[in-house]
Amino acid sequence: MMTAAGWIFMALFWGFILIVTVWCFWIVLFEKQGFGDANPQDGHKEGTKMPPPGRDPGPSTGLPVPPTP
Amino acid sequence: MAREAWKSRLGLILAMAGNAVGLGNFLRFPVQATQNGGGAFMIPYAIAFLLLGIPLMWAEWAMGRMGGTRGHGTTPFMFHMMWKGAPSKYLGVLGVMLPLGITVYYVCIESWTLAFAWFSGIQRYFGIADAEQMSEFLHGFQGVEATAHFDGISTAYVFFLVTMAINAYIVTRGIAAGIEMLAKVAMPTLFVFAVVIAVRVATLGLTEVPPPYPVQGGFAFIWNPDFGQLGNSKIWLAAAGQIFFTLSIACGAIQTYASYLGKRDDVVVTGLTTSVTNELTEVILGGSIAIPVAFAFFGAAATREIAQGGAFNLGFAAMPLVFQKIPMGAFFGTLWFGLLFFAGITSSVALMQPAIAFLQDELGFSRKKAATIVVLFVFVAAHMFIFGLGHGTLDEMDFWCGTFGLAVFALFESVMFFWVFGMNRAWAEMHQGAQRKLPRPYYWIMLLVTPLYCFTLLAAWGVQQGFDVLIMKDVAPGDRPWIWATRALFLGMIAAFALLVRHASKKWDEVKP
Repeated sequence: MMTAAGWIFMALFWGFILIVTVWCFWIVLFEKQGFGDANPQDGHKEGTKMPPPGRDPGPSTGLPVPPTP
Repeated sequence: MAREAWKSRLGLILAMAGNAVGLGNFLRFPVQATQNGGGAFMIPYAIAFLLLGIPLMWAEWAMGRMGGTRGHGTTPFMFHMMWKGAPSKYLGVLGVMLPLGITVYYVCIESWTLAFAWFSGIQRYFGIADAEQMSEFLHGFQGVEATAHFDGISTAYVFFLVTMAINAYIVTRGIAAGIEMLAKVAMPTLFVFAVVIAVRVATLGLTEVPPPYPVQGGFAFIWNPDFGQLGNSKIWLAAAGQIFFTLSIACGAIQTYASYLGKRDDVVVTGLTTSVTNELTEVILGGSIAIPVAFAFFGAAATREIAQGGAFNLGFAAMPLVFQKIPMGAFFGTLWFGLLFFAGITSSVALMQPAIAFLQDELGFSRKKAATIVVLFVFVAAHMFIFGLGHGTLDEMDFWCGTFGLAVFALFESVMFFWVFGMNRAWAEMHQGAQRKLPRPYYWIMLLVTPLYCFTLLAAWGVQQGFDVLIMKDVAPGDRPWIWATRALFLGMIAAFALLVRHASKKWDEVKP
C-alpha cells in the first residue's frame, strides 16, 4: 500500500510536472512574441507581423523606419 | 540554398515532444523502474531530470539555433563554431552517427508495435494463457525461435517494409510538410490513446483484478521512496541513462530540430515545454499503465520476473495477456500498440534528421537525395538486427549507441558549450529572445554539476563494468561473431562520418576567401 511518504513524493513529482506543463503551454499558446518575430527574413511564421511591402522591417527600436528607395 | 523552417511554434513543440516521447516512455521506463527497485529508482531519476535533463535540453536548443543561423544543422560544425581547433568537428561526429545508429534498430521495434496493433485488432494472440507462451508468440514473430504461431520471419518482414515505407514518405516531404504535419496528427492522437488506457487501468474493478493484487500496489511500488538503495551506483547510472534516452538528449537530434529556428526564437520556455511534456507522458501516463496493470494481474514477484526477462516483455508479453482479461480487450490492445507506434515513428523520423541535415547542409545534397540515401542505409543496416536479433545484436547496438554513446556525447557537449565556448557566452546565447529568464542556480548547475555528473557516470561505468563489456564476458561463444559485426558497424559508422566531415571541411575551406 502507498505510504504517506509515497503519496507526498508522487504529489510533488506529479504536481511539479503538471504545473510547469500548464505554465509553459500557457506562455507558448498565448504569448506570441517568443517565436518568429525579429527575424522576418526567415519567412513568415506564427506570431510574426510581416512588414508592409516596400519597407524594411527595421531594427527593434520601436522607431519609425523610412521607406526603402 | 535556403534552409527549411518550422511553420508554427505549436508544430515545433509537438515535433520536439514527438522526438522525445518515444518507445522509451512506455516500454523502457516501466522496465527500468521495475528492474531498479521502483521507489529506489525514482529518486535518482528525479534528480537526473533536474540536473542533467533540463540543463542539457536548454544547451542543445541554444546550440542548435546558433548553428542553424550560420547554416549548420548538425553538431560537427556547431562544435567547430565554438572551438576552432581541428578535433572539435570530429568530436561532433557522434551527434550525427548516434541518432542514425539508434534508428537502424529502432525501426525494427517500431515495426513490431505496428504488427501487434494489427494482431490486437484481429485478436491473433487471444487464447494464449500465460507469459511464457506469450513470449513464445513474440519470439516466433521475431523469427528468434521456431513456433507454431508463425511460419518464419515473413510476417515481421512485411511489417518492417511497411514501417520503412511510412518513415521514408515522411522524411522525404521535409520539415514542415512531413515531420511537422506528422507531429500535429500523431502527438494529440498518442495523448488521447494514453489517457484512455491510463483511465481504464485506474478504474479496473475487483471483478477484473484478482483480490490479492490491487492496482494501487503498482503505484506503491513506484512511489514509496526507498532511501536505503541510494548508495547503489547502478541505480544512478540507470536513472541517468533513462533521462538521456527518454528526452532524446545527448544524441544530436535536438540540435538539428532547433537549427530550423530563427535567431531570436525563444529556447528557454520552448525547451522546458519539451522536457515537461515528455515527463508528463513518461511518469504520469507511462507510469500509470504497464506497471500498475502488471502488478494487478501478476503480482509483485512475477512482474519483476517479467521485467528481468527483457526490455520488451512488459509491453509485448504482459500487456497482451491483460487485454484478453478485460472487456473490449481487442480495442484497448489496438490503442496500446497504436500509441507505441505513434510514439516510435515521431522519434524515428527525428533520429534520421541529423544525417539528412548533414548531407544537405555540409555536402549540398537536395532534401530528396539526402533522405533517400539515409533511408536506404537504415533499410540495409536494419537487416543485421532483423536476422541477428537472437544473437544479441540489438542489445549490443542499443548499449553502444543508446547508453554509452549518449553519456560520452553528453560529456563532450557540456564541456564544449559550458567551458570551451564559455559559460557567460552560453548563458547569453540561451537568453537570446527568451520569454523568461533561466533560474540563476542553473548557471552553476550547468557550469559544474552537469559536466561532473556526466564524467562520474562514465568513470563509474568504466570501473564497474567497462572491462567485462569489452571482453564480452557474458556473451555466448556462438553469438560473438554477431557482436563483433555489430561493433564493426558502430565503429564503421563513426569512421564514415569522420571522413565525410573531413570532406565537408575541405569544401568549406575552398568557399572561404
